[in-house]
Amino acid sequence: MTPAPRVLVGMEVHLQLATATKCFSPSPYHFGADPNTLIDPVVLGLPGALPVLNREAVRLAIRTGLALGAEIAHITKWDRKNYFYPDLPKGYQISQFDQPLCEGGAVEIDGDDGQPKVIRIRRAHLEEDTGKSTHDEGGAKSRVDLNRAGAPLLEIVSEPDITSASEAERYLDALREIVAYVGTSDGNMQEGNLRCEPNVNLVFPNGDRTAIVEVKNINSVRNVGRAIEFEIVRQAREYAEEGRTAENTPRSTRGWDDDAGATVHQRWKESADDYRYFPEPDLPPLAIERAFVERERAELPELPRARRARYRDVLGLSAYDAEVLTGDPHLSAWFERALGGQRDAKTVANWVQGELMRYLNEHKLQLADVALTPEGLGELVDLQSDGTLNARTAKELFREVVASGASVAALVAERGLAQVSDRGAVEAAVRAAMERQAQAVEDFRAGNPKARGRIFGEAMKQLRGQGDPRQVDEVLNTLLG
Amino acid sequence: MDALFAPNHPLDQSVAVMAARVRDRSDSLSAQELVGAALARIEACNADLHAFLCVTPEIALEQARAVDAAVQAGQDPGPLAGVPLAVKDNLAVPGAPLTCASRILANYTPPTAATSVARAVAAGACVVGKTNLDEFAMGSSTENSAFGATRNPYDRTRVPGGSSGGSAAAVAAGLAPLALGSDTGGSIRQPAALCGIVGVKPTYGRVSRNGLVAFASSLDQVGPFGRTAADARALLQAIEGPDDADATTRAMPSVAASTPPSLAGLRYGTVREFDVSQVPGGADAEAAVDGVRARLRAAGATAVDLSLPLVTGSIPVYYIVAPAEASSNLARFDGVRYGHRAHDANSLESLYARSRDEGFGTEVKRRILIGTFALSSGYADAYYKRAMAARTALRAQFDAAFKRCDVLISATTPTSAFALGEKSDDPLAMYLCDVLTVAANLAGIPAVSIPCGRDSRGLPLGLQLWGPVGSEGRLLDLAAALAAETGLGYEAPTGYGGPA
Amino acid sequence: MDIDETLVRHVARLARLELTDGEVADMVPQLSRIFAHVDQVQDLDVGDADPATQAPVGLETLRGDEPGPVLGLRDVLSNAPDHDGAFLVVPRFFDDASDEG
Repeated sequence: MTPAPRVLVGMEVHLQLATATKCFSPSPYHFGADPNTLIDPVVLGLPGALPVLNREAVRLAIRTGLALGAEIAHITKWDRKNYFYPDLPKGYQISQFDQPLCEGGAVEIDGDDGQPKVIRIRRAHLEEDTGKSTHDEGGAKSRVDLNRAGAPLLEIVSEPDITSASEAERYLDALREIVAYVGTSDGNMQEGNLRCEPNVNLVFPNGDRTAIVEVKNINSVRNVGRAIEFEIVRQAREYAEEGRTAENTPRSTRGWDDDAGATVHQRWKESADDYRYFPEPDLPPLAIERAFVERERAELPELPRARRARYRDVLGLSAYDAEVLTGDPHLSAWFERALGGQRDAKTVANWVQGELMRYLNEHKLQLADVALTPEGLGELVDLQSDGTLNARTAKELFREVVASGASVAALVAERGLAQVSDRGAVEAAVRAAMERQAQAVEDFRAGNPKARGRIFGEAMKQLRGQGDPRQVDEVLNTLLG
Repeated sequence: MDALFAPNHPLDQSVAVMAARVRDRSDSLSAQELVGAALARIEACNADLHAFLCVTPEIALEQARAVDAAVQAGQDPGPLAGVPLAVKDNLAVPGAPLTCASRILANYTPPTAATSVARAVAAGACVVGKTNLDEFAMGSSTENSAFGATRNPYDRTRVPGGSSGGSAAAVAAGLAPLALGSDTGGSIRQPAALCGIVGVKPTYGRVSRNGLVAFASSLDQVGPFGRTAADARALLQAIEGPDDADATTRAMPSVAASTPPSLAGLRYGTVREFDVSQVPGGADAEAAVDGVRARLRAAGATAVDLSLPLVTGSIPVYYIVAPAEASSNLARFDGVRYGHRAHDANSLESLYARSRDEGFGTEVKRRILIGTFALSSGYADAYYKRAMAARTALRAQFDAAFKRCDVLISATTPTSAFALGEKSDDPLAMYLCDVLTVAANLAGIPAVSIPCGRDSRGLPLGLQLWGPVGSEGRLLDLAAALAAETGLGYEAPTGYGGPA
Repeated sequence: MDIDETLVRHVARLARLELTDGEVADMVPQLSRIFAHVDQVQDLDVGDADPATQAPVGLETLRGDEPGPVLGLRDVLSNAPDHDGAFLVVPRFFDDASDEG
């Protein structure tokens, strides 16, 4: 029995940035267009066409880098990575070799031991995407669609700090959540906005290590985990049975086969792989002013992990509530606005997770479809907590304004819905109720406590439902003796 | 032929005069007549010279009609109104083939125009055809064309120089008063010299490269040919300026004419390493330039002797950097999206390798191999990086030189036009033709070649003026002043047109 | 630099040029002569100069994110040697060749 090895996983993530146009040309880009319709001379690599860098792609890359805690380069440049491939129209990819836009940084996750764990980021660089090919099953042709070619990609390379499949999944979830918060990418793996290639190898207690395997073609977070699990078993078996190590086996690329639940050998990485990188002469180097970086940094929202901790530790929300309220950046932003900085977090959280969620689920709506503004909910919460509205009226009003978006305060004033809290009026109502329900008063005094509810209900009816139940209760106690 | 080249023919006037006449509603000369005359000259002479790969009468006449219509409507059709323009066939003209004189692009037609072409047309120029070149601009004789060599109008057994040999021959023969070329290591200046006309290699970044099929991106510049400095200036002024489609363009002072400089007080530099008097066959060229230097001193200019030691390394540096960039720039010619595709390729790898082998000529393949090697793993530091460091050092030497003088003066080429086939089998000898020109591209500075008389065989020689970044306006001012002082200038080749 | 047939074939393979044996044989002496000249770069006194680059530009010079025109499908395919409907077509290849240098 071979002793358990240490698992080392480094992640290469390609993140498509949410720009309107491509990285090096004004051709529009979006997912799902008809083949070869998002193409201009630059994308098609026509003779004489030149790349022109998209400022927004650089900004989104910097913003993402800052969210990861990376250092942003003072001077950065682009390089040509030369190789031939039908998806690559120019015969080279414009990428970044030795002066990436972002260096360093980290993503914090929950480690397998439940403790916070830091996954270090080595670098992140801005490059162009390739097109896509489809292949005849058993046929003679491959078909090329260049729509995706030239879309801006941020390649984020981690250090091999990930030590299990589940950590890899949590790393990806954390990364997706961060980019969703900072709004730089849709991070959708199905649509290929986020693509991930884990690099996996094992280190045995005696110092032996297996050759690094890069796994490609994985289309979901769960499958990243499955692929890593498969590799751990496969590499351990090859080591045990065949003595395969990095010493006697070259690095390789394997593809994930979803149906088989297995990785399949694609090719050995030869030392002859020679991309002949050199500085892209069509693009001058880029100087990035610190003022721009600091402005972007100042505009970063609170990141999900920090926000979750604050909800728990400062606002006193339960871990579950904190998780739910930070899980979706839109919901979290909505909650933050409803909170308005000073309202009671638990009360607002109850409204959001109770009435608001119920409404969304009942009507199958998205948050963006809701007419009520978060500030509107805040107003409702205020009117309830200062005693103007009782709980029942507040809920009724919520159901109305959530669809109409009308002002709660205006409706309250217009309809006279404010809770009756004048002690004289409450006393008068309670006395009237006791007269109308004389039998109940008698029953109560004869020792039947249930009769009290009839008197209370009558008093609330006299107040047309706008009495503060606590006050009515108190007055009833006094008058019943 | 007589009527085509009659004395005082409108095509043989200066560009300024011809455009002014077209713009003048009271003058009977129309753009269509001018274009028609140029097309007739091309028709008569091209079989002999092979300056044009493709003549574009429909395009030219449509542009001419638009110019004439503008004039009739009282609008200004621009400073090049109706002037026939020849365009090197590595610049995109929509609707016309763009071949780069290569089989790999034999059937390619671009959908959009090169910025330089679009700007010249917007200024009123009319594109009469696409001119021959060494395949992908790689050569110094226009013999490396997949479609046959161009001949020198002064001696049809000789080369016109290259790679923009078709453009230079067309202007020298009076087939078009203006032409566009590209200059990566001398490809405008060298043929301008060998054809006795004016050619300008602008400062890197003055003219957009958008639509110029890239040879070596950090060296390529589009520039004008004309029979005089004023004509070349008119075209350069029309095409210069920053372009959103080329990130390497920069704003710099326009080349618009300023007050002609006084030669008195001019400090001209003579660079020891540019002296070709000891180069075989170079005595005539250096003597011609010496003659001009003597006239300058007589007019009150001061001579400054300089040494720029790195100039001696400019050919090795150039023949690393240019092929390296070319090997990458030419990767897009892979038979997938456009261009030649090998018929019998049944795998992707054979499609690439055979299409490229069949499509590219020998010189192009040679340079792709040199460049691929210079960038390859294990060799990039010794070759590509080393050469790029030498460029930085060379720029510094030029900067220092221009602190001591206003302009450098040298020959443009060591010899006049050589015979067709003379250097075809000796690539290195061909590379050495660029010895006096490549340094300007490596340093990114402007240089102008102007006619400098004839050699002992009666063939044109060129004189080159070099200036600091952005100074081509002043270089053209100086070129005009020199021509006035020395009387040297364009002389029509026998049998072709020329100013009366 | 010693140029031999092995090196020429290796470089030709990187450049996707299918040279004939005759072409390879011709290239060896030609490239040898050229490199004998080009090797002079090793002797140039370049001091401590860095490899040349252009002057850096600022973010304000970059293109804004406004969509420009696209080519019509006809323009995309008009120069294509082979296409099938809207797709460009090449001989069947396998994705595992991806980013092979």
